[in-house]
Order: sequence, then structure tokens, then C-alpha cells
Amino acid sequence: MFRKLAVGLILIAIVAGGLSTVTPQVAAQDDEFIFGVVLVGPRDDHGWSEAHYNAGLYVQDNLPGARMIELESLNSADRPETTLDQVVQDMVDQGAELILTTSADFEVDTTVVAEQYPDVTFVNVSGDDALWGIAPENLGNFMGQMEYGKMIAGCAAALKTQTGQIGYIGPLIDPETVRLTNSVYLGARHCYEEYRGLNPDDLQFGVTWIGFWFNIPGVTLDPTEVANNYLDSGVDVLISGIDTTEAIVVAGQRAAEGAPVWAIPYDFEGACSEAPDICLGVPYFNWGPKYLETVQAVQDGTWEAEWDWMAPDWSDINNHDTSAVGFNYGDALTEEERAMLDEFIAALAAGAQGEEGGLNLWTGPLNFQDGSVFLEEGEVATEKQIWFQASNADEAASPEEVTPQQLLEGVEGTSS
Amino acid sequence: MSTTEQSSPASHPAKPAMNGAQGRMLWRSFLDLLPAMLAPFFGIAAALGIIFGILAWQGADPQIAWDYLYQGTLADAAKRADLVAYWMPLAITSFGLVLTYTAGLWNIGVEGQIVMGAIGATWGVRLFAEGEPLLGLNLGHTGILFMCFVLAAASGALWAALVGFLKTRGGVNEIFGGVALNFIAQTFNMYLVSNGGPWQPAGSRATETARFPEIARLDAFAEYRRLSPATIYITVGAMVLVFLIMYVSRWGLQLRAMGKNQRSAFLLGVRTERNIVLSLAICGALAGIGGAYRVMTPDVSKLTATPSGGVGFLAILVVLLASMSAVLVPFVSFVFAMLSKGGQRIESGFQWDHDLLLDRSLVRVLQSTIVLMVVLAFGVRNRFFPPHRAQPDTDEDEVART
Amino acid sequence: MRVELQHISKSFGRVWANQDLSLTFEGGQIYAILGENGAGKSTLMKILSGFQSADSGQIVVDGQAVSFEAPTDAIEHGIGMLYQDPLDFPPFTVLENFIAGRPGGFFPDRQAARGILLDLAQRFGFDLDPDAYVDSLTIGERQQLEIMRLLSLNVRVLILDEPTTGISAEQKAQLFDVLKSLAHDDGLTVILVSHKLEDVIELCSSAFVLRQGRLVGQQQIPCDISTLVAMMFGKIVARQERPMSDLGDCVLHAERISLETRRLVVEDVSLDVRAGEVIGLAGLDGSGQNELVRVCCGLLRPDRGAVHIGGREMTGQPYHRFVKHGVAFLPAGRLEEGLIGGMTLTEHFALTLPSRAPWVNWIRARRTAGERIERFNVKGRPGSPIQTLSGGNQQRFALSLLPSNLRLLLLEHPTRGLDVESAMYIWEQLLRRREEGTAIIFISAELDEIVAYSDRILVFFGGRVTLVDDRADMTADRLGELIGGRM
Repeated sequence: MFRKLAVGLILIAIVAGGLSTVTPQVAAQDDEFIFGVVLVGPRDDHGWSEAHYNAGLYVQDNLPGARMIELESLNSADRPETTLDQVVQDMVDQGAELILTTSADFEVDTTVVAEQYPDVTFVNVSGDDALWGIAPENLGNFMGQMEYGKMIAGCAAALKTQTGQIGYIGPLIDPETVRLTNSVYLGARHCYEEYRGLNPDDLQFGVTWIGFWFNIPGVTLDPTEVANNYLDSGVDVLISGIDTTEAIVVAGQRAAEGAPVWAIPYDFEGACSEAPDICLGVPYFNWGPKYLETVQAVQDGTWEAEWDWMAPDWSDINNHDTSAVGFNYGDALTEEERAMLDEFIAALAAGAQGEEGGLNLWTGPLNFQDGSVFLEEGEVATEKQIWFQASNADEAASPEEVTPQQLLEGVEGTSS
Repeated sequence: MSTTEQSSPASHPAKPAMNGAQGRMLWRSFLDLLPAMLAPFFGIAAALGIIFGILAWQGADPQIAWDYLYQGTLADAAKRADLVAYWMPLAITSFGLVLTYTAGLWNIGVEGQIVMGAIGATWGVRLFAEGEPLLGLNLGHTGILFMCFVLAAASGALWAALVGFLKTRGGVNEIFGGVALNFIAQTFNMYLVSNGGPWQPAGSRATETARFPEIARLDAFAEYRRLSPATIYITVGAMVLVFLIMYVSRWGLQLRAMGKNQRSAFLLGVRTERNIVLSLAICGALAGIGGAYRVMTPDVSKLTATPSGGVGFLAILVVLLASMSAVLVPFVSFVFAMLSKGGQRIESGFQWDHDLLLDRSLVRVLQSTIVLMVVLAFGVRNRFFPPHRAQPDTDEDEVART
Repeated sequence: MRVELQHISKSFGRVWANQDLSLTFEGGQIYAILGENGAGKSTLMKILSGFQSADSGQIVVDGQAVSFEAPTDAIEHGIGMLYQDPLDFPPFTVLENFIAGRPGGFFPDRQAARGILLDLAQRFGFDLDPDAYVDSLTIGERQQLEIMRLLSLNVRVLILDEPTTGISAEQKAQLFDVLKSLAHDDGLTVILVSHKLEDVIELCSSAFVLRQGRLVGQQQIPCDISTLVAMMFGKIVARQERPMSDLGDCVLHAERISLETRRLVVEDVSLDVRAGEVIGLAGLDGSGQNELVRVCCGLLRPDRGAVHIGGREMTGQPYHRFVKHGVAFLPAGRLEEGLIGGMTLTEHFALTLPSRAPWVNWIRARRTAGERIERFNVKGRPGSPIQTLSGGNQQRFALSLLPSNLRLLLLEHPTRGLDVESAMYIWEQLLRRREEGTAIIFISAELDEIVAYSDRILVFFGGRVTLVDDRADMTADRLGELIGGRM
């Protein structure tokens, strides 16, 4: 009987303990500017989402009174209980005046909520609604010109590969990811021929799409498995196109076992730290300056909806305060290879700035996988042609009219 | 709890004693049931205690956390509406699972059934509301929505019946069949909406279909734009259906018999194979409607990459914690929905107001801790409040009566 | 070893299962614990073997009071119990079961264990393949395995609960030899819990008789069976003679049934049964009786041959079609496949009463339950969960569940594990059904039962069948020969 009483009392105590409440309150300060950042993955993914999170911190550091509120891992697998609409409402209730939704997966929802909250400014990173003039006036887009970073990555891989096989782990297929994959391929082909004097047609370049921006067990392919399969099949340089770091982690494990393999991660400046010894470098986004510019513009009331595709600062692509896209050299590069990459970057810079003798890899003749012509002999791609990886992008009046993106001829992998 | 019973004489020969005895019987059966009914709640309370302990250890004031939990779920009408909207698919799926678990079937495949329901509903939209409607039928707003739910239920039911046929005809355990079909459903869904799949709009970069056209969207309450009354009606209907099956129908009794001893039930004349397929199919239909909620809820209105997002697995926990009682399911699922939404609010609240980064897996930890604690609570119940006559050897029960 | 039980009491709720029982067991003797169903034998033995604990009283082993929290404690003190259904792990092999429960941690020494097993088997003349899977063994063989396992744990007191149920005559003789040898040569104490008075007389030297939780007395053996019966029941029960009755139309026509299972080939069995006829199926466990019965109700599909029920070809039809045509099957395992543990008596009726309505008529179910409980003399209330009934009451209840107007009733071991009174009651009910024109086919391990009630007898041996329809041949001796395979 006493035992029963004791157990009963313990249970009651537990319940009663949970019932008493106090009201937390944090006074909102008047001089604060609150901006919301919605992340599709974890804020510490050493990839895409962490780069955005760090940009928010950059704004806080450089603009007194600015305060970021963020929500990480907003996707229906991680947070089935929440939609973007609800998160945005919470953020607006919290006082957010600017909300950045940092994934292509938020693109459609962002247009919907932007209409719900006309007084709040929205930016969908990597989207292109503002490009077509169909988005509400309080919605803008921006994206970094990562194709340069990817070309450098492709070049580094081509300089290093011993087997002549490069493996690219792609997320899902859309214009952005195909654009970046093709960029890697163009950079690799160029450097394989230019600096190593080998026939670029002998270079094997394959892409495997896992199905989403990061691994969702049971839903996507497992990137770890994809990476291992690549290395088993003779690939010795892995390039990541996904938000997370599996490629370099797997390569690092294999290297520790003595295999001569290397990797190039993506998105996040510090991603090489996963396995510095075999890292050839990382093309990364530096969103901070653009975030800061946007926050200031909204704060000053000068913000206008735009679609901005930010170029690197060619004078120093790794300048944190000016360059949107950068490339950090990895420890695995030799001095000689670094010199070649410096030369390659300089040539890209010259080409991008329209200088005589500069290098523009988006120059015809380029064909797609199905043999159709992307760029005629001598034709140079326009911004929209590059963005959509379609030859008719400039003539199209709406996104539906653009022909679907395709991988370039010579890339092994599916375009759709 | 039954000391009076034990000391009372074994037989009541006198008539007047009967009333008292009957009253005591009632009281005793109530006392018997009480711990069973309270066990989940004690478990939840214990889990909350542990979670708040963890929070305190991470530097978060548990009382503030408690308040965020409240703020994020029940504090105002809009939050309650959001909570109900999230609760609905969980509840209707759990109701379906009550049937299969009562029949002793581990319908792990419910997750895939939700996904197939989501696909079915979207298929309805595509057939009747986008482009040229099927057979030129103009069903109108209500007709389209009705067809969406019908297709969702049919898809879910079909997917679940497949598990049943695999079990009865193919000898594949429903757990393995379910896991395989979950994977296939999810992969099929991914095929539809990603990598330029057939249901992904041309040029779209998001892993989802286009938003459903206006005519195929559920109407929301005027004040709460994310909650649709239609889902409430359907869920209540499903609840009534499951209550009728479980507590009134012969079929429900058959399911219960199968759950306790399928072999005996079969020999006593229960058509077990048919009932396996049928109970799975009804569960699948309800899960399919749950899937339809997930895609048709007004703030979604599209098929996403992972339409279920684990709601099915959560529903399995709900049903197990509710000890397969249809009466308890609404409450337990509501508590789970609260924990999901409230956990998220705790996380964002601490981050936004206090600059304190809590781990994002907090919600999952919360739920797992609760499962653990409730299982423990049942153990405590069985140990200290043993249900009457659960003794393994009962040979001697009538000794004193003879 | 001397084991004393002193003033043991145990109650379940308000029911006293054991009331102030004091018994003493000496080494080298074979004791019987006798009693009607529900007399408290099982509880007492479970207390002695550490499976349950007593409310009061103590166990004294060689002068020292001990207390057991679990069966392993009892085994450590040298007391081991062999349960009615051996507690083994069917998906494992004989050797693995033998190892399970032995000290030696996670990595037992399989070779050593195999050696011990083979030595013990050789000593007792058990023919067990250490690598055979346990679910392919007969109950008798599983019992042998369990005995050897307990002996290998140095058990000095061996308790056996109904050990002769479900094993063949040969296995029984072998078992008794082993037990005698263990008691007389090794000085073990053997305690036999049994209903079967013949077994007790044959084997034991002394019997404790329990009635309603109390000790009635200790009787030295040899003595008359009637003495023991009198102690158990307070009165002598005589076997009833079967009245003759007329036979009706052909109910079951089974033609050249052949089938093959994992353990057995049944060849060319033919049988015609007419309404009102009682057919007894005799034979060693697993000789094909169960297969034939299951073929006759659609639970097994024969490889060749045909089954007609009431003139209608039913071969290959599912079980529920047979049920629809008036066939009923009562399996041996009551709580395993006959009744539903956890459901009340009323719920059983709610489940089985024929009805077209989609809902349950609880009023009718409860009323029917009340009536049948009364009529079949089931000791239980409509609201009692079935598992709270004793074995005899469960069997009576199972009979009461059967629909009236049956064409054919198939029973496996209808009186297994029941006391004499219950068994007679069951047969009264069955014979009443026969008068109503129901044909009965039953399997039994009791030759007396088969001889007493059958009109014709099928004797199975290794899947082959001998029909005995000459009453002159229906003696236990003659049938015994046939069962043993002597034609």
C-alpha cells in the first residue's frame, strides 16, 4: 500500500511541476531592425545553409541594431508540422521587416506569402520570379555567379586527376544545378587540355543526382553511397554539388586508408576543414555583402524588387566585403597547380570584364546531350541563356516557354 | 485498491448484499481502468519533466520553455487553428491505425499510404481541375474536392490492401511489405515532382507541383486562413466510423478477436484473411485522406517532396500510446501535435528572444522521451497497480466458489 | 535432498489457491500431487519451482529456509520443474535449447554442451538429434530434452506437470523408467503432478491429495485407485456405458486422401462416416490423425483425394465453407487455437452467434452466455475473461460455443488434461449431440476413452491407417499392438 502511495505521489508531483508557468517577456527595442532568414537545412551544415546563416551574422556584426531571427531545417521531412506561411507569420509577429527564404523549394510559397504581407520585404535566394515581372512588388531575388566558382573547381579537378575520371554529386535537376554542372565540366575540359596537354575528350565526367539538396533517408539516394560508388569505379576526384559535405568526408576516409583521391566541397567557405589534406579547394558563396546591402536598402526605404545575379569581385574574389562568390584553395594543391589556377582565374576575370584575350567558356560551339545546339560556332551566351541553360531563353516570354535545361554533350548522367 | 475486496467474504449469499457488491464491482472496474487511462498522461508528464531538465541544462529556463510551448499551441485562436490543422491528418491516420492494430497488424506501411493519398488527391486535381477536365466533366468546386478525397482514399486503400495481399497471399509479413511499399510510394512521389518529373511544372525549381488552381483549393475559415472546415467534418466523420466499428459492430469484435488470437478467431469462424485486407484497406483509406489533408491544407495546396513527413510513424506511436483505444486517440494525438508545434516554438522562441541555440532535434527527443516514459508508466502500472485477474495461473479461480 | 513446504498460503484476489499447506518430500522417492482441476496443485508446484511466490509460509531445503525470486533461484537450489507445455524455443535447435539457461555467459561452449547432451541421451536411451529444430519434435521428445536440460543443471528435485499428456505409450514407458532410475539410483526426488491415477499407481510411492486449496492427506502407494479417487472427489466415479443409437445418412465421405507434410506422408486414407456415428482416431502422436481431421474441415488441402460433406464435394474449399455446411472443429490447444484469451465468455458468444446484423446484439450474447454457462455447467460468469477459467471449464465452454445442428464434429483430445468428472461431463454432452444426429470424429491418446466411446476406430501408424470395426478387436491390448505398428 505504501509503495502504491509513493508511486502515486511521485507521479502527481511530476504533473504538478509541469503545470506552473511564468510569463517570459523580452522587450522589443525600438531601434532594432529585425530580419528573418529561413534555412532549408541545418545552420551548421558546413554548406549552403551555413553560408546563409553566416551572412546573417555578418549583417549583425556590421550594422548596429540589426538582428537576425532564423529558422533552420524548414522542409516537410524535418518539420512536418510547419509551413513557410506559418513561419513567416511567426517572424512577422516577432517584428521582422525583411524575410529571406533561402531555397528554391520556397520559391512558390514565397510568392504566395509575399502577397499576404505586402508591408514586409521578401527575398527568395536563387529564384527568378522577379526576372519575369510576375512577382509581387515586395519580392526580389538574388543569386551569386557561382558558375565561375564551379569552373575553377572543374579546373582544379582536371589538374589533379590521375585516372582522368571526375565524379559530380548533384542534388536535383533544375536550371541552376545543370548550369553549375556544365560549368564544372567546361572548366575541367579547358584545364585538362590547356594545362595538362591532354585530350579533353578522354576526360570522363559523370554526374549522379541524389534527388534533393541533401540526404533524406529513404527519400533520396544516400550521397555517402554515391560517393563510395564513384571512388570504387575509378573516379579519383569528387566534386560536390549538394548542400552537405558527404563527398569530402568519404574522400577523406578513403585517403586515410591510403587511396589517392581528392574532393572539392561546395557552398561554405570552411568546408575544406572536413578533410583538409585531400581538399582541392572550395567554391563558396559569400552572401554577407548582399545581405547587408539589402537590409540597409529596406531600412532606408530604398529597396526595389530586382533580380540580381552577383558577380565575384574580380580584383579579389576572396574579399569578404565585396565578392559574392569565392574560391578557397585547398591544402592538397601544389604550388604549381596554384599558379595554373591563378592564371585560369585571371583569364576568367579578363573574359568576364570584356577584356581583350579574356576567357569566356560559354562560347560556341557547344552542344547539349541530345545533340541539339546550345551555342553556334563563335556565339557567346547571354545572361539568360546561361541562367536557364537553354538557347531560346531570351525569346521566351514566360518560364514555361523556355526549353528544359540540359547537360552538355560529353557529360555522363541524365538531364531529366 | 482492492483491499476491501480481499477481506470481504468470497460469496454473498444474501440478496441485500448484492447491491453493494455490484456497486463495488463498478467501482473496482473503474479503478482497474483508471491507471490504464492515466498511464499515458503520467508518461507524458514524466517526459516533460525530463525534457525541461535537459532544457535547464542547456541554459534554457524550463518555465519560459513551458510558456513558449503554450504560446506556440494554445495561446491564441490563430495558433489553435494551426494546431488543429496539423492535428487533423495525424488524428485521422491514427483512427485508421486503431483498426489494424486492434487486429494485430503492424501497419508500418501507413506512411506510404499517406503519401499515396497525397498523390491521389493531387491526381484528382490534375484530372478535374487542371487543363481539360477528364471526359470534359465540369464538376465544380465541391465536386472536384470530393473527387480528390475519393481518389486519395482509394489510393491509400489500394496501397494498404497491397500490404494485405502480400501478407495473406504472398506470406510477406506486413512490416516488411509495409516498409517496402513506403519506399516505393515515396520514390514514386519524388519521381513525380523532382528532376523534371511529369508533375513538376516546366521550368520550376522547387521539388513540388504547381499550386493547385483556385477551384481545387479547400475553403478556409474566414479568420483562420490555414484551417479548412471540410477537414474537420471529415475527421469527425472518420472518428464516428471508427467508434462504430470498434464499439458497436460485429466486425470490430472480430478484429479484436484476431488481435488477441488470430488462429482461434479463424477457427471460431472469423474470415481472418478477408478482415486483414479489409482492415488494412480502411486504414489505408483514412491514411490516404490524411495525405490529402497534407497536400490540400490551404497554406500548402500542392504536392511536396515529402508530403507525409513522418506523420504516419507519429500516428503509430499515438496508437500504441493510446493502447489502441479509439477513445484515447484524439487526446494522445492532440498532445503529440502540441508537442511538435510547441517544441518548434520553444526552439525558435529561445533563439529569437534569448539568442540561445537549442538543438533542432528537440522535438524528436521530446517525442521519443515520451514514448519511453509512457512505456515505463505502463510498466509501473503493471507492477504496482496490477489489473485484476491477470495472473498467469488461474486454475484456482473458482476454488472458493465451488 | 529433503524439501519441506511449511504452511504455504497463496491467494489470487479473493480466491485461496493454497491454504496452509505443509508437505515434506524425501530424496529417492517419487511423489504424486493429486487433485481435481483447480485444487491448487499447479500453484503449489509453481511456488516450489520459483515461478510464483507464496503469500506466506516457507520452503526449507535440507533444513535451511530459502526464498526464490525466479525459477533460476530454485534451480540453483536444485529444484527444477518440467511444465505441461515445455518452455522451449521452437525456432532453435535441440542443442541451442539445451544451452539456453545454462551458466556460461554469452559464449557457451557448444562442444562441451553437446558432449553432456549426448551422454545424458545415451544414458536414458533418448534418440535426439542435437541439430534438429525443436518445432520438429513431438511433445514427448521436447519433454526428454527438458529433462536432460534440468539434469545437466544438477537438479535434485524434479517436478513434472502432467508429463504423460500427449506422448506415446512408448515414450511414456521410457519416461517412467528414467524417473524410476533417477529416484532409486541417483536419489533424486521426483514429484509428479497428474490426473492419471493409473500413472500414479504405477510410478509413485506416495501421493499428496489436494482439494480446494487444502491438503486432504497423504496416501502410501500401492493402494486401490478407488482410494485415491475417493480422496480427490469424495466419491467414486464410474465410467458410463454408451447407449446404442441408429445411424443415419452418410455425412462425411473421404476418398483416398493423400498428403505430404514436413514430417509425414499420409497415404490413401478413405473414410465414410454416417450421422450419429462416433469414430475414434488412435495412434502415436503425429501419426497422421491430426492431418486427417484437418483435411476433413478444410484446414489442410490434400495432395490427392476428395472430401464430400453431406454428399457435396468440398475438396479444396476453405474452412469457412465447411463451417457453413455444418462441420465444426475443436482443436486440442484450447487457449492457443480454440478460444481467445483476453475475451470474456459473453464476447465469445457475441463473436460466434450467427447473425446477419452488422452490429453486436450484446443483450442476446449475454443472455445466451448465461444460458449456456448454466446448461454446460461452466464455472465462470458471462463477464469472466476466458483465461481465468480452469481447463475443464474452458473445454465445457468451448463445447457450449458450438452451434446446434452440426453435421460433423471433429475433436482433438477432447478430454486432455481434464479430471475424470469433467471428462465424463464432456462425453455426456458429446453423446447428446450424437443422439441429435451429429457424427463425431475424435482424436485421443487415451485408449480407454477410444474404446469406450467409438463405434469404429481408425488406428494410425506412420501415416497409414487400420480400420477397426469389429467390437471384438476393440480392446486396449489389441489397439496397443496396432498403434505400435504390429498388424
